Amino acid sequence: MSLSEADLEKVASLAHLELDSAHKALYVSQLNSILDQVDTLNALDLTNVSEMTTVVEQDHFQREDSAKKPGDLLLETNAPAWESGGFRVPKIV
Amino acid sequence: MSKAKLSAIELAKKIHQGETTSVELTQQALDAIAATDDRVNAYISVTAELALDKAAEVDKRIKAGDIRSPLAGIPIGIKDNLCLKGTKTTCASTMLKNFVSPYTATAVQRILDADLIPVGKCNMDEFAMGSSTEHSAFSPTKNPFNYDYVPGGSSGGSAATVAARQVLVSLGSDTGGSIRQPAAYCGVVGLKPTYGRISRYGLVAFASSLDQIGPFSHTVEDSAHLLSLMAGHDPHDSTSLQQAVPQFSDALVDDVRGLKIAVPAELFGESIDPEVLASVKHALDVYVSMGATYEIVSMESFKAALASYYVIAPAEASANLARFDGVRYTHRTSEAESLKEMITRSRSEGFGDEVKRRILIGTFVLSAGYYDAYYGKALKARRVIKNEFDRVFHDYDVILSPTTPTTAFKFGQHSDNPVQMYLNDIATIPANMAGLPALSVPCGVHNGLPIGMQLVGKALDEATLFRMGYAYQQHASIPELEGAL
Repeated sequence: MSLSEADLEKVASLAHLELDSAHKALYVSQLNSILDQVDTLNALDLTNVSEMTTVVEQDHFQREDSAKKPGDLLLETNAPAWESGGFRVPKIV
Repeated sequence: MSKAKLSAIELAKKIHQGETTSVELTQQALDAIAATDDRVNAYISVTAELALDKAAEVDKRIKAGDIRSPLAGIPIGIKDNLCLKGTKTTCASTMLKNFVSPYTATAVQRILDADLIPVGKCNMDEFAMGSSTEHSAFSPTKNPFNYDYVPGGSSGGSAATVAARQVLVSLGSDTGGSIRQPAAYCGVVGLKPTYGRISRYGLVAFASSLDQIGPFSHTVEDSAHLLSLMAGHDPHDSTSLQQAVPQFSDALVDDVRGLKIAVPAELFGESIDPEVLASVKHALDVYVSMGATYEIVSMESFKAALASYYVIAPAEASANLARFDGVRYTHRTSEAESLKEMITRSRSEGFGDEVKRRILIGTFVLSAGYYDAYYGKALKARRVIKNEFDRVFHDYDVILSPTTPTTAFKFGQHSDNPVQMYLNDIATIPANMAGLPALSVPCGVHNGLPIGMQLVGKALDEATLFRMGYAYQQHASIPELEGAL
């Protein structure tokens, strides 16, 4: 299939990205060329083939569910805006 | 190897025997970076104070007879997507340009526990997405052998710093070839271990089912020692394997007699540059002269590997990079009135074009109505690729091919054509899809640029790769490149 500019705008909105008009045209063209490449998958016979999400064949290791005190997570150091022990963000309601 | 060009393990012996010190070698590395990195740009940040303090500590321990590893005292570069507590980890992105790591990645911690000395954080393609290091927000890294050419990517800084001999060893990460491809372009050894062999805790995630950390070095011997130091289960990574880790240096024997090599026809024909093909053929002749045998085999699923990868990796990336929202530890836009506007603008300003392109593809293939047509199909193709490797490994010990179809390309050559750029990874991606270990070893030179061959092994059988790579380095004669420096 081919991706239209309207499709791209919808995908960008889902991905929380805004694109200027020059980038929209570029991305439509580039994404379509990538999807053309991806369409080569249609040449494979995938009948009765199951999906493979991971190569790890062991059960995923799980740590004991116990509370631990984290070290200094540098929250304030890395926060773009910090106030009274929390991240300051624009008003939500 | 000449005395002036010792391996890391040989140099470490000199420290341990009192002929030099870690402080002296660390200062030499820092001096080399200061003298040459304005041209190479292998580093985003240099951790000089931390390095010299650690080197002084290590020298004290060594003097007291406490030698914590065969590489104790050796300076090392670390890709800038691996966390080192208290230092910046930028992922070469505006998004994380001010991010200070609150903890240390397990692989890096094991390197620190082994008393290696971290001298800085290496340049890379933004969030490890790229094959040229052109997609760094901190300017591209240059190929040390010709500044007009890329060093490969995404771990271009880690490869270039070793090739330029600023340091002798470094760490990178490999999702679709990001260690092996730059290793080939820069004429150094690069290893992607079996998926799960090294913990990914503290590695900024790109595509979690594919990402692996691995070393760069000049010799296969150094690579084996580095893997031994970093491998092994880590409770902080649920995909970290619980199998025992062999002592990989035991595999360093100059004997490949009886080993059976498979050469995929799909990576040994028209899609490969003739000069690259000639070097790899010569390497096969070297192996035959040492008592190994090879046969050309068909691995048709490789044709689908690239397409499958460019669905799965962006899909995982679009989910992993959703966390960068401008709220907690990333770039935040200065102009936003609502929360949604803040998140969207922060992401749009913080991510570069290639990262946006991959997020958009990933979001598209996971969106309602397209899962079966793209993502589901790619996951099935992945199973077909894995099954084909299993079939070939039933009859052969190792799969050998060129690491890349060409030598390094010029800056800007593929900038407008992402599909052409992605084709650089055609030989490396299959091993990631199947989670297999793969080693790139220099095997030739063309027009002053290095050529690499790739050895892919069975799951957890890095030992055979080291044995093959080590034996080759004992017998092969490759022209020595002096480089532009």
